[in-house]
Amino acid sequence: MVDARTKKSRKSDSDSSTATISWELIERVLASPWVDRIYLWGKPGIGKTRVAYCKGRIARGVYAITLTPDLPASELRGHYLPKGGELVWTDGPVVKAMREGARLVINELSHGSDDTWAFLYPVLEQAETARFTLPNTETVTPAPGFNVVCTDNCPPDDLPPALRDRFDAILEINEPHPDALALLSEPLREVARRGFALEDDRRISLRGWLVLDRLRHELGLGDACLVVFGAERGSQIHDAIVLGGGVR
Amino acid sequence: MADFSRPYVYGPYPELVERHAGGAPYEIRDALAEPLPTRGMVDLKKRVMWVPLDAWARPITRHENGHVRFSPLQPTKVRFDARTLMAVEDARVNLALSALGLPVVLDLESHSNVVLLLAQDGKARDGFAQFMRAIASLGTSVEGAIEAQLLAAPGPLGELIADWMTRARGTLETARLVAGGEVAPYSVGVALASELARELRALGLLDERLRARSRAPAGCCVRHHDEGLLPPEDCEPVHGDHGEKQRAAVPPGRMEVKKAPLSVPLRPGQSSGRRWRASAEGSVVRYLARWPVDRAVFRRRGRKGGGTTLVDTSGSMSLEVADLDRLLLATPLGMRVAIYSGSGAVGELRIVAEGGRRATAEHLARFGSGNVIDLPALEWLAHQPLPRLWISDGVVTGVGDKGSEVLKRRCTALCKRARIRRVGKLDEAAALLRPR
Repeated sequence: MVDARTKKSRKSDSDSSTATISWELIERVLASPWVDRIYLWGKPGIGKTRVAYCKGRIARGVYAITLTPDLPASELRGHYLPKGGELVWTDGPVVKAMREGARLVINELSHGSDDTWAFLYPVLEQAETARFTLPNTETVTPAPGFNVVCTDNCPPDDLPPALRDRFDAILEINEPHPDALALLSEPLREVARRGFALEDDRRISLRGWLVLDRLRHELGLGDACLVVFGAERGSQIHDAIVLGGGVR
Repeated sequence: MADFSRPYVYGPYPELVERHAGGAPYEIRDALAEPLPTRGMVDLKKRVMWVPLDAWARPITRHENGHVRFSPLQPTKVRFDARTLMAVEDARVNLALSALGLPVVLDLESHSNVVLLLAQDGKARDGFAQFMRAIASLGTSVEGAIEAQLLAAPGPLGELIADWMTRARGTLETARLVAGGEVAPYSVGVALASELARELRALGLLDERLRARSRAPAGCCVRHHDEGLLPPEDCEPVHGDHGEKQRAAVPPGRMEVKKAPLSVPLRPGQSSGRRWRASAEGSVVRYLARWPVDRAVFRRRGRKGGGTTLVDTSGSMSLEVADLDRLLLATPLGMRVAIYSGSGAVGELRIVAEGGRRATAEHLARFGSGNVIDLPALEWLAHQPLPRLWISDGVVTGVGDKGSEVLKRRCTALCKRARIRRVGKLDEAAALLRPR
């Protein structure tokens, strides 16, 4: 398993410079046919989900789910649905992705319940052993090309060790994706980059900047800041943008 | 462990403002929670900014951000009283902010306070303080009022100071326009301060060492440790009074969040709080008898109960373990319950029930006899699931279990903003929590 954090700490033992994972490397991993189960984590709003949906092996489609403590495994596996006078089995997103050899994106894996984690054990197995039997007694195995990308804001430390062990690559990224930054108009880019580097409780998500950039032309910068960031925070961010970014 | 000790949620962003990126984040501290001489201050080297963390403080944060943007990290050493340079620096920053469309507009209370202080300087015949206050006010909303007051005052000094205001404004504004930038060059400010110091010396307001006997505070908002400039501790407050300083001088304690082992079911004999419901869709058949009725034959997980209760277990609440036990019995399944108390400068917030399970009685004992961490505990509560209940007698304290009007005001505002309902008595809370 490739654990980017382990590599980083090893390197820092011998080298004072800090090794960091770049988006370019992540995109190469997402495109690699040798890496089928990826855990991608980092600060919110940097573009993890976006690359999971848009980069790498997605030719056969992308299925996405977001886990919550209340989400049952049956939502992932599939349901019997009443159709006329009978019940018809309908595949859930995980089963569909496995059958079609598509990409399965699981957001907020650490928020999942024991129930969903237990269901994901066989799904995240190596291709040779990944299989499970549905309630209709049909056994599902992954078609070639099936790959899973889990995104989260937390490190995988909170996951059960057995689940954590199933990932081929654990990648931490804390820089906003350059494509996302490029979507911002030039004067806002540097301010956004700096706002992103702040501590957790002060960090300004890239999503906020993107919405602000679109809204400011329609509402004016002052009102757009209030709408996007709220009254108190918005007024502070407005002043900082005008003073630091020269945007009016 | 999460650190909720910083009373900071929505503060300024000096990192976005400074000319060169790459430094460590600024530490933002509540100016009203510390015994400071001014309501706003910034240490450019140590990267600390003190501002009131309240909505009314926007002009103060704006001014301090202006220093971050325009003031040099290493100020020029001057032979005369450094307050003169600092007053001119305030004016240079305020005028630049005004030109950028970010004028420093004081609220009515701050505005009146500055005018009052100027009048007090006049009564005390403190010409140096009048000069400093007048120059530092350039570019702010109070400039006009100060000028009018000076011109109305008897004696020649008022008129002279008003002339100096006009001269300083003209010099700085011209220099700003000539430089074609957003701010007058710093060197122009230094030269202007030197001229002003010469004038002050000629008027006898500076002694032969070019120091003023005045306790004027002007310019104290930029802190320079090693430049021989006046440290803020030596200044009097620019705004506000000593009473406020005393009332405000209690920071909240440092909070540690812990989770007790939740080894006991909240309701003995009941399940963990997961509710199941019948559904017409699903994969697990449980209620076959419903097929002819509504076809909801599947078992699906329903939503669990939610919400959070925070209990102040300080001495003033006189809560025994048995009382908390009683509260937990009344707590709905799925609700999170935490207790907190403190001692000295530290407090502990302990989660004692969550998701249908609770801690044993031995984990319900209080951490200390004081409150100490009311504000950080409420900030924690504000981030928990709704509905939010705070069981407390309303007494709010900080470090050393000392009360503070400012802390209390902040807690009240936070409760309002985060929809936290305060209940004074345990019985009242138990009645609220009891399922209907």
